[in-house]
Amino acid sequence: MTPRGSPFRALLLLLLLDMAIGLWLKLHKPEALPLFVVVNAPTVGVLGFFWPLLPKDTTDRLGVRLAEALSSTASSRVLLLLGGCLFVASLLLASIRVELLDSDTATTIHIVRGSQGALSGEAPVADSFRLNRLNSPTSKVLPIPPWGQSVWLYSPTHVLFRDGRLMPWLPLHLQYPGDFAPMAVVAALPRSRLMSRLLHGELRLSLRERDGGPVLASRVLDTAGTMIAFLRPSRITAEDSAKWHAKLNTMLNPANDSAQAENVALVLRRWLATTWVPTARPLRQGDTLFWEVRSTKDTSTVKTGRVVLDAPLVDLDLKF
Amino acid sequence: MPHWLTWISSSKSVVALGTLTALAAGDARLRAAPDVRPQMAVMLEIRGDDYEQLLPSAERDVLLRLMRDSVQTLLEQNFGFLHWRDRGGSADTLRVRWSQRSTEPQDGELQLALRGPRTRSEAPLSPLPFEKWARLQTRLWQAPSVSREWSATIDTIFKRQRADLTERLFGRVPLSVKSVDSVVRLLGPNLEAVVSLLPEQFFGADSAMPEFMVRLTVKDTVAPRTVGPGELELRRCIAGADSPPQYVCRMTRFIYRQDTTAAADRRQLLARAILVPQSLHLLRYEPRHVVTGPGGTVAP
Repeated sequence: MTPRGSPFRALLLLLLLDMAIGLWLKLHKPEALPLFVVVNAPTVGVLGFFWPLLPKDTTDRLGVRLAEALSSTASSRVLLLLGGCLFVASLLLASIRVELLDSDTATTIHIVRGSQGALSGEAPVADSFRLNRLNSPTSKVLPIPPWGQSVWLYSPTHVLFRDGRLMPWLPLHLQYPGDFAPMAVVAALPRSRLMSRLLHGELRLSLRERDGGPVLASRVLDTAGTMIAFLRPSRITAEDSAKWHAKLNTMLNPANDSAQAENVALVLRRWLATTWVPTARPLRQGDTLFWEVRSTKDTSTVKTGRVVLDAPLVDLDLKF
Repeated sequence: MPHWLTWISSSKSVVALGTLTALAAGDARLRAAPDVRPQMAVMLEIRGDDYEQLLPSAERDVLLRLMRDSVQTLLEQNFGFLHWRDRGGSADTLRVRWSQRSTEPQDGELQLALRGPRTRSEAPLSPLPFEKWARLQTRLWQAPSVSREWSATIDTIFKRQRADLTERLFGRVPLSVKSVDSVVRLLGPNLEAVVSLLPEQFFGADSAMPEFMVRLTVKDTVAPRTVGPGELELRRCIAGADSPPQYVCRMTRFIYRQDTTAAADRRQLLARAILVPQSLHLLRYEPRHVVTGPGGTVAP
């Protein structure tokens, strides 16, 4: 025989459980909340509508049975166990909500666990989703440890300005592109004077956070233009190509001598045959990075400098 | 005309006899006229960042060896008034250096410079554009093919700039004339000079009209009786009909006491001064056709 207690205790637990689920959905999965309400409200409404229509002895019998069921210790324990399980689950899940500010934009957002600065190689994408004006804002629920976890997001052109932290019951709310910084690409362009040395793989270019800091990207230089970026850059645009052509004309052919066209064309052709070097973390516009060129034979430093990422495509002229 | 004479004059044997006589006379004339071509040595060098990087030292040595023969042949063809086959004991050296421009783009250049006791310290000749940096970057660096390409380029440069190079560089080497006095007679009052040389002596074309430059000592006979070095250009030379053969030239430009003037402007000085020729140089040269064998000549 199951011990009996007050049915109000179980009823209270049931209400608390319902409210907690509603609250969690409101915080982390607001788009699912209407579904939860749609299921809850008719259930209560239909029961409330039909209950007075039932014969009195039936309602009395059902009421007694419901009261007995709610009064039982097992019911309370089941409800407590269910509530406990759901609470533990709520500590292991967190959500990111991204709202699109520019209705003309449609992009893909990638979520990466960890910190941008702690990357040492390829960034494992935890989840990806499309973001456009029809599905904005979009929420993504991710499993996390109860003490929270750092995450960052990026699109093909932007990266989250600083890492976010996922915590239980505290949703991370972001706006795109307001909370994101545009990414930059560094184009390392060897000058003609250097190219013969590069044919033998004598020089290695490294991009660092700061002088002596962690290496973001490194590569033995060749005569091609080296595109240093977090994501594989798209093809060089006609504008960028024209810009490089003008730069080469200034450097190699200031007198606008048609006889020099051959030299200009060769260097431009080599620059445009770009090679992509991925960086350990996204390069944000506004960053200032340190670069160095070392000999591959004896690792002696050949040249160092700083590069300010003040444009989507920043030229790093290698001349020494 | 007697029959026997008609027979002789129409006979082929007369022609042959005449030819032999003429050849014998020519040979005799050549034997009598000493070779005035100064002995020159050639030194080849390859310098420049890209050349250093692209041409391994072993390949560079092979290339230099190949180029030595080519350059000597091309020099003979274009500047045959100097003797380019080293017979030992050369006093002057032509340094042929492949280098690169110091500024970008580092196009290849050809530097020609003379060194030696007979060549005075002249202002160095500006490097000649040789090849584009782009060509240098894209070429297959194998000595035989590079040698062929470079030889063709040098041949083109020498042919196109022969007159300029003769006047500004190679003509600075004096002809090996034992006694300049005996070869050059300066007729100051007439603004003329007589140069007693045969074209064969400096390997010039028979039909050529050479031009000369004489370095001389000018001794003015009028107070303050200055004595100093000068240079006299002798142009518009025509071959005289006299014997021994000689060229009669006009004095055109006269450099004396750091003043460069037309000779006619200093006619009085040239007429009264004692002009002592010191060295004779060629300013204009047309190469002699090279006899290649029976029935053929090569015009450089």
